[in-house]
Amino acid sequence: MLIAPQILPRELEVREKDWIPAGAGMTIGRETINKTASSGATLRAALLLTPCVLALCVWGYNSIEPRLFGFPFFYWAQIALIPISVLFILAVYLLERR
Amino acid sequence: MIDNLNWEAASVFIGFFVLVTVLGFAASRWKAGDLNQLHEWGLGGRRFGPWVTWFLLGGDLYTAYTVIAVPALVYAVGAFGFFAIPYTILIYPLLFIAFPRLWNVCRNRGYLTAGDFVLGRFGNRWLALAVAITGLVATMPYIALQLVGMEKVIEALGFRGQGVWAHAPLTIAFIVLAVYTYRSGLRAPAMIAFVKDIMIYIFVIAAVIVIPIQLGGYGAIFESANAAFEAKGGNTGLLLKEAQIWPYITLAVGSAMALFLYPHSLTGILAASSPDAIRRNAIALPAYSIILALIALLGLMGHAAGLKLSNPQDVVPQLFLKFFPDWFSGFAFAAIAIGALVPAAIMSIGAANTFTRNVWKPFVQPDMTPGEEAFQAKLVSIFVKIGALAVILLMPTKFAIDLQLLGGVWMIQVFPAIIFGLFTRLFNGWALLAGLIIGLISGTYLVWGPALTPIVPLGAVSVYAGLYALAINIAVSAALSAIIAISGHRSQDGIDSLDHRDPIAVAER
Repeated sequence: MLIAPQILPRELEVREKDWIPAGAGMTIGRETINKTASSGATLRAALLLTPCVLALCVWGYNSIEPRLFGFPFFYWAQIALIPISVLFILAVYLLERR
Repeated sequence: MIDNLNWEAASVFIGFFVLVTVLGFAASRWKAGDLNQLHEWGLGGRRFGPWVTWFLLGGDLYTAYTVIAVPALVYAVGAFGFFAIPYTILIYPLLFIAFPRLWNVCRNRGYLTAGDFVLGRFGNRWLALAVAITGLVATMPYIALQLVGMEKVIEALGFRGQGVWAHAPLTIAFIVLAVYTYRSGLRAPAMIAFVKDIMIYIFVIAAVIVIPIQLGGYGAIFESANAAFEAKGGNTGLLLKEAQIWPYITLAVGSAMALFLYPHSLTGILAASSPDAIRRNAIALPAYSIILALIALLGLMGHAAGLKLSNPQDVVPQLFLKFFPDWFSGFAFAAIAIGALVPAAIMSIGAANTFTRNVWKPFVQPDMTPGEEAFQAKLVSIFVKIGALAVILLMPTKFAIDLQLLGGVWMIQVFPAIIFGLFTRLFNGWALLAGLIIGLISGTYLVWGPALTPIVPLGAVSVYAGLYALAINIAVSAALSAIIAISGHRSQDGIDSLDHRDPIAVAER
């Protein structure tokens, strides 16, 4: 259902405490809080970026050897990277839930 | 017309088609809601949990055309066709990081489309219109290509029609699809996606086990594919040529950035019941990527099986006819055809939502009631399908393929407005509109040539034109935003301009 525009402004008020991740310790000073939140964000960003960088390092896997079950490296490395990328995303998901 | 028909395969094929038709109509009562509301008809009431979303998005993103075109490309050129794998690796971190956030804003504001979001964020209805039209124009040829996938398997069943009869099965299938989409909305493809995805898993797993056994194992398959590429020469081979590396990288990046901006992808994502359902799917959907990689290998098996094809797009159907009993070929072909129906339905719904919300309502009939909105969208979904059918019936297939290629180059140009818009307020709506238009023009100019090609030279290397044009787009958007900010014009904020500051507050609300 479309929310009627006139009821929006109050909902829009930014509640400072709400955007601090749970568990980041709200009693400590605001600067510390932001730092905690942002270092977690950096770690999560790095985790999500890793499989992307691996997938794009074409020079690293554009070769026949080593073979696996008859598959040239180019093929099995990319296929193997799919479940590996899932592990990275899963790690971020679990970090966020903690 | 039907003298060469493979009756056994055709019966299985028709049986499954009837099954999904029944499901399509029955779906109107699934998770029942008032289908005279656009968010109920067009987004299934946003009630699809992680499992339904997994099937729906899987059915939506890994389309029949993919199943036909990726192995066709691998058959034709080898390694380069595998760009689909890094592409599908890149999409899920992006899905995970950006789209739960977009879902939140859209849920809280009642948005159904990318255009709605852009209007709310930047308060600029022309930018919203440009985003909507880009999505519509990019989607139309994509729907048409689903029909190409379907026609390939109908041909493989042995159907040879003359004159008006040539496209009769396709037309019938599409009319049936149009009727149940009109009635059930997004619930129809969501329900059919269960059948489609399970069938695809079965046929792909069977193919990658049974065919290699008969061809002497994967080692032998790669050997004979290598021999075939060496005989063929040019830019083909089991590995990428030096000059293909940058095109491979940029094509993967560009395709990944564009994928979730298409109206049909967004429709599938916004229909999820929660941001968590989307995050879980960023973890679970890659299962389809493995299937896609295995499907890509079918292209190499085509060489090992000694298929001599005038059209590489026949490689999957011909492999099945050669290695499997007729009934199983019928099953696989039905999976591919149903794999066309699901995305075609979602694409037409996404296009209908977009047209109704961002073109018709703001510019033609601002005082639409929710009932009128839903009715309008249902009608548009039918027109969109007729349009796609007309493209296939009246024009050469190459036209749809070229348009779809251009569509990808166009679609990526809305990336700054939507994705940057989710995370920052630095950009100005008018600046983004200028960047978008310049991106569209430069992208089209780059691709246009004696032969349409998405790979264009940039300095010493070649790159994907869509990404090249996006760089121009971002440069223009950023420069103009800076100029507007420095000259002291306050940017015109949309009504939800603060949402980006409190993603977690929004998430928990």
